[in-house]
Order: sequence, then C-alpha cells, then structure tokens
Amino acid sequence: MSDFRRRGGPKIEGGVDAVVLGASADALAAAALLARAGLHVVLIETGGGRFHDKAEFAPGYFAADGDPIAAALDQEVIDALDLYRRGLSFARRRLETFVRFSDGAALVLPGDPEIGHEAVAAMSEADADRYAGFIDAERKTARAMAAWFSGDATLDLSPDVYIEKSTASLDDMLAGRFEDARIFDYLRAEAALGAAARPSEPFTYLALLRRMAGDAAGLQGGLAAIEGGGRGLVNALRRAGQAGGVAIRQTDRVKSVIVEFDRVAGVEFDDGGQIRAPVIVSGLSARETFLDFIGRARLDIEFARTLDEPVARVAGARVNLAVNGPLADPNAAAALDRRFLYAPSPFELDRAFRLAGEGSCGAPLIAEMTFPSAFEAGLAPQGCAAASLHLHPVALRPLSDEPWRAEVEAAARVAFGRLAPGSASLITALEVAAVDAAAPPTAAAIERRARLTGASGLEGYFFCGPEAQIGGPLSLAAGRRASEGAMRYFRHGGID
Amino acid sequence: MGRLSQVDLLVIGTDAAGFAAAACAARSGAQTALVATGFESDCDATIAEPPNFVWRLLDLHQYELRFETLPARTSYFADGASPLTTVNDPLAAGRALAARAPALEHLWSAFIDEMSRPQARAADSGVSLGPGRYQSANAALDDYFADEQLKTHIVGAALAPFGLAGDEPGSAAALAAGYLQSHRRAAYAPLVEALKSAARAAGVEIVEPRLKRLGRDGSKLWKAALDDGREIRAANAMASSALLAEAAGIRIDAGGSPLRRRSGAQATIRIRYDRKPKLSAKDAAAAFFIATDRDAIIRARNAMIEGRLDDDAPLAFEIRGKEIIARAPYCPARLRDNGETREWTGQDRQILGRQAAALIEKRLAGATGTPRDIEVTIGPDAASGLRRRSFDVPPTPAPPPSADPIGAAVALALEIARRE
Repeated sequence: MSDFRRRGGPKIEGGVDAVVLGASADALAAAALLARAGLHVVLIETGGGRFHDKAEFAPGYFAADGDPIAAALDQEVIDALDLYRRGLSFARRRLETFVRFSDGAALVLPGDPEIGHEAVAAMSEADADRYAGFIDAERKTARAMAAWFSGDATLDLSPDVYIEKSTASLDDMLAGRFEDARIFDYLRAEAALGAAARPSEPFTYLALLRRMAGDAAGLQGGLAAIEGGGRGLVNALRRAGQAGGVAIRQTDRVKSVIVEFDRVAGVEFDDGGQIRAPVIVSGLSARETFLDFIGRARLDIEFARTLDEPVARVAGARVNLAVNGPLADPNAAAALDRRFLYAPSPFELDRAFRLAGEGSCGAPLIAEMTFPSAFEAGLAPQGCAAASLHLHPVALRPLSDEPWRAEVEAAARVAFGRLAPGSASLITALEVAAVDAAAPPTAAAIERRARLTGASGLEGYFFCGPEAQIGGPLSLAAGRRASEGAMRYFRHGGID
Repeated sequence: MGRLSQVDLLVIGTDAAGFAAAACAARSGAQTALVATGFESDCDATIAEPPNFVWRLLDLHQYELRFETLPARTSYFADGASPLTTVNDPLAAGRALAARAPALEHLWSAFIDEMSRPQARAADSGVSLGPGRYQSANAALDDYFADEQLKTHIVGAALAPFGLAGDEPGSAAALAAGYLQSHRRAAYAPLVEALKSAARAAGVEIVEPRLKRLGRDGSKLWKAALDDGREIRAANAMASSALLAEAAGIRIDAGGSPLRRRSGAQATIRIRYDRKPKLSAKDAAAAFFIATDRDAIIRARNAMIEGRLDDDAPLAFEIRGKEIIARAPYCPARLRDNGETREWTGQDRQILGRQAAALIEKRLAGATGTPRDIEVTIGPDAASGLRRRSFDVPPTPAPPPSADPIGAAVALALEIARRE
C-alpha cells in the first residue's frame, strides 16, 4: 500500500459506469433507467430539487412537498420502471377544474377535455360548438407535437403550421374566437400560468398546446393528482432505482466534474475523493451542471452564452394555507378534490404582469389552488383543509425578502377570497413556501433545451436539469432522454 | 346583393403600401382590385422611399417625387442631460461615439453590421428559426453596450415605431428590421397620389366603398362584402399592412413576425408654428426622440396596455418647415378611467397635443415658435380588431411589419401574383 493510502488520503472509487447528480424526479428516473439497462450507477443526491417529507407549516397543518398535480407523465418511464408496482398511484385521475372568473361566475370543466364543451354550453351555449371544435383541432395538433415537446429533435408538422403555432401569441389565436370573453380569459390563464411573457406577446400560444399535449394517467390533456404528490412519484422512482441496484448517496460535497481530453471521467469531492465513471448525468440546474462543476473555461463560447441568458423578472409563488373550517361558498365547497383556477380579466392580468415586472406583486393574479388534504389524509385537522396555492405572476425575489412576502401573502388572501368567496376569514395561517422563476416561451425553452442537452462539447456528460424539462418538473421525459443518450454513448464505447 | 367583379388578387388597404402592391401585381399580369378598410390615415408625415424594384416596375420617375434623407438621429433624455446624436454612416457614428467611450467606435460598427446581416433580417420575416429569434431587444443591447443613453437611443429608433419597449420576446428582430439603416423618405401625401395614379395606369380596380366583411364562398374564392352591399370575388387576397387589416377585424398571417403591434396605438401630433424652429439646417435635419431611459419606455408601454398615457411617455418627432410632426408610439387606443374604458375625446387629444408641444419646446430649448394649430390623430387599434375577427375564414396574408412597408407589401403581392 502506498504511503498516501496509509495516511488515509482521498478515496478514488472505480468500477462505476455512470454517476447521476441531483435529487429531482428526472435524475432519479435517469438513474433507474440506466441501472435497469445493466449499468452500475451511483446516484449522488446533491443540490436543490430534493423532495422532503411533509412539513408542518402551521399547528396541525402539513404541506406535501412538490406539486400534487401532474399534467404530463412520461408513459415510457412508467412502463419501463414498472412504477405502478413500485408504489405510484393517483389519488384522483381526470381532475376537474373549477374556474372562477373576475365577475364571480364559475365554470366546472370535467377532467376529460373532450367533453369540456358540455360545461361551456352551460355558460355560453353559442360557444359550445366553437369550443369543441377548437379543443378538438388543437388537441390533434398537440398530439403531433407531443414527442417534440418531450425531446424529439424532429417535429411531424408542416412548416406553415409550426410557424403559425410557435410564433403566435395567445391573443392572436384566441381573441375574438368565442362570444363569451370568459372562455378567452380561462384559456389565457391556463397558458399564462408559469410563463414569463404576457399573453399578448409573441410565442406564448405554444404553452397552451404543450398543456394539451400532456398525458397524465393515460388521458391526453388531462390532469391527475399523484398520491403523495411529487414525493409520491419520487419515492416510486427511488424504489425502482434501488431495485435496479442504484447506489444512492446523499452529499453536498461534490466539488467538480473531472474532464479529461474533452470527456468526463468522474466527479471529485471536496476532500479530494473521486468516483471515476465514463458517463455523468446531471439533473441539477444548468448553471450548477456546467459553470460550477465544469467551469466556463472548458466550455464552448457559444454554449456558455446559453448559460448567461437573463433570468425572467417574474415568477410564480407557492403558498400554503391553513383553512380552518368548511368553505362558505357552496359551489367551491362541493368538492375539494379538484383543481381550482382563478382566471383574471385581461386588465387584471396585464396589471399583474406590469407590477411583477416592476418588482412588486399585484392582486388579483392567476391562482391555481389544490387542497392536498383532500387527496391525502392527515394533512389537516378534522373538518379543516390544507391548501396549496400557486400564484402567478409575482416579482422574482428571494423568500427572505419580507416586504415581498407580505405582498404575496396579501395576494394569496385575495386569490383565496376570489376562489372561495366568503371564506377568506377561514385562513388561520399562511406560508410562502417557494418561488420559481417564470419559464421563457415554450419554443425558446425547447431551443435552449436542445443547446443544453447537445452542445456542451463534453463527451459523456448528459443533462436533465430543470431547463431540460418542458411542461413541468414531474414529466420524467428529460430523465428518459438523458438516460437514452447516456446508454447509447456507453454502449458505443464512448462514441455518441 | 350585386356583384362587382371577380379578380385574381384583392388588396385590402388603400395606404401607400396597398396602392404600390396592387399596382405592381397588376403590372405583373394579375387582375387586381383594391379596397379600403376605413382605418387608413393620411396623417403620416413621411414614408420610406419605395425600393428600386418598385420604382422600376411602376416607372415612378414619371412623377415629381422628392425624397430626402434624414442624416441623423437625435435623442433627448432627462432634464439637463446632453442629447445624443448618431449619423447614418456607421463609421462616422462610431468615431463620434468614441468621445463617450473609446470602445464604442468599433462596437457601433460591429452592431450595425450584425443587425444588417441577411440572417438577422430574415428574422423579421418570421421564417428564420435560428438562435436569437426569441431574444428581447434589451437583452441583445445589453450584450453590446453599457451606455444606457445609447441603448435608449436605439430602442427609440428601432422599437418605438412598432409599439415595442424592448423587453418583449422576439423584439430583437426590430433591431434588424432596418430602422437603424439610412432610408430616404418622401412626404406621404404626394407619394400616395403618385402610387394611386400608377395603380390606375396599371389597371387596378380601385373600389370606392369600404370593405365591410371578408369571407370565403364554397368555391374557395375570397368574397369581399362592401359597404354599399356589392361584392368582389377574388382568387387571392392580401392585406397591405398587418396593422390596418387587424384594426379592420381581419385575421391575418404575417409570417410569424414578432413585430406586430398588439396593443395601443400610435398618435400622430401635427403642430404648426408661427415660424420655423431656430435651428441650423444641419441640426433640424434629424429624426428626434425623447425618452428619459429604457425603464421610462417600458413604463409607457405598460401604461398603454392598461389604457393610460404615462406622464413621461416617449415622443418621436421630425421638423418639416414650420411644422413639427410628432408621434407618441405608446398611446392607449382607448382610455381607461375608474375601471371603465372609453374613447378618446377632443379634450384628451388637446391635452396630448399640448403636452407634446410643451415637451418639444423644452427639449429644443425654446427654439420653436408659438404653436398656432395642433392636430392629433390616434392610429389604428389592432387589439379591438382582434376581438371582431371571424375564425371561419382562413387568415389573409399580410406583409410582416417593416421599416420598408411598401417593399414588404409589394414583395408579398408579387409572390402571390407569380404563384398564380
């Protein structure tokens, strides 16, 4: 044994085929898929994105980690990893959406988008056929785009249709389409939730098609509530990984990714220890993946510019609410195991975007609300409810910014009051839990994904971080794509 | 209901671009009709010179047209700040800007060169899907320059005409759209008259009644219902301008250009003075722009979207003899007071006109005379037109918004005519 080893020097670990960095659902999916293909995989759970157990945000009220709603879950990953057998289940398939408008009217859209026009007919008979025709045509287009959204390089659509759909604004495609302006408001809110740009700005329409292209619980364009929320999905993935032999390590001490002759060769830790592996998959953010672990000097200049793209000034905020008692509004109280959406008027939404851009937070804004306690017992005391509210758009600020938190809390109270009139006084506690930067236009995000996943100039380095996910963090498609690329690379002896 | 005629191409919009497009299509052999939308305005002071191919096709040398180049662009900023002037020659402009920061001498030329590249221009047509297509103008400018006043100056020149503020996705395309290039310009009214004559000479059927509704009949012909109850049928239809057509409630296809105005309107303020401004001929021959900074431009755009006119709203203007023609690019098409939307009143126009005159007088340090007459016109409103569109009719082709509206419309008309 060398003197170095005798002195207890850093450990260099070999015999590993692939290292996966991160703790997100996509990183777990990538690790499990690689292990299933026979690779010896080490998953290093590091950085953000780690799902935690439910946390008590007010006495007796618990918040489940992660969004309980899935709009797009990659069926190939579910099948390949047999996730239903590993514990993935849905608390509710075909989730209804209860939409409340600025004039106080309500619309209950069924979980199956194909029959949404029946609900629309109750609000505007003249629009029922138009809505049915629009949804039918656009779901077909969305179906043709589904593989492209989830990572295929090619798109099975004529260039004319692609240019129209990808460049149009929501207003270009929707304004004047329906007699009842509230249907326009609903579709605008649905697509603008999470987006950085106003619905009147170009390239925003594609977000609606992305939403329609999603597939959760076997229904295109439908929504499903995962049992246990994002944590439930992650637990199923972790079980699948462990069954395939993935070694999971939890550490925040990863220092860098080792690069030798433009190929990755493993990861290095703070103490000098290394895990040598020819393949690395990262589910961390692009900046961590490439700038922190590789360094700008080793990256292609054009590629590095992709990492410098300015972050949006607007964001979405997630707020947990403790609701002490049944909702006063009978329409809203009829069922809590559904999704609630406040669709602001165009004027309200424009104002909210302006205030968010100016660094503030207006009200009302788009509000998506679920009651996790309606899907999972034990999250709230008997007769009470725990609500999770996603507010958009607000200014992008750190959670520690007290004045901003106060504004978000005020906006949450307004949103709750709009969604469940007469019930705002039931809120006994309120916690601003997370803030997520708004997404760039979908086509721009897809273009960025293509650059980030394919042009770093480093062989053996695969990316499935948040910037590779189009359509939410629970889709798993980015993890699947990264694992497919990694497997091809590994099997061809380092030639992708 | 009477039928007027059946033509190969129906051009919608009797602005300069519409007359030129119809005339050129007719010259290339298409039986062409031209119809007004009712949203045309003759308040435009000047328009970019028609490109050479239009000039040749229509023999415009037969008309007594006078064109001139505004050799400089001058921006005024906050009170007390020195104005910034760039000249059209990039090398000379770079040399002048070097006094602000030495690096600008080369950066300016590189920027103009980059913006003039064919690839960048293609982005304007909406066809190029290359990197940068989704970039905002502010992000592109931040890549190049640190000088905030210079960036405000560029936004004023390149984006304000489109009603954009620089933070919109895709707005970087406006930097490549030619507003930073040198264009000879002609007085609008004489050019329209010349193009109208050229259209008549080419055999264009210029229809007096306005377009009421555009539809399709079973035989896939376009069917234009006119104000007087008659109809025109056409194998093809096109709009002369995206803005005019949208204001008229026509669904358009402008090739995916991100430069379409989607909210608000441009107000044109014509101020007649008792004398010419006391400026040297050299100083007066410029396109002027007034804006405090880019944040002020964004504030004005946001106020416009919400139906308000910002107190610090930017203003562009040109001096034409005793007249100053000003444009307020970020005007609400309708005003919103106490939650209610209303039309512009004569009093609102008067206030806007006086504010503009006062601002110009302040920035020109009293060089103007006394205003004798102020006329304010609010331009077409695309947003309200969007709400009147019919989705039963396929979109009508329209040229992408451009610094060269005549060239863009004629290119589209010729493409349609030759396809036939």
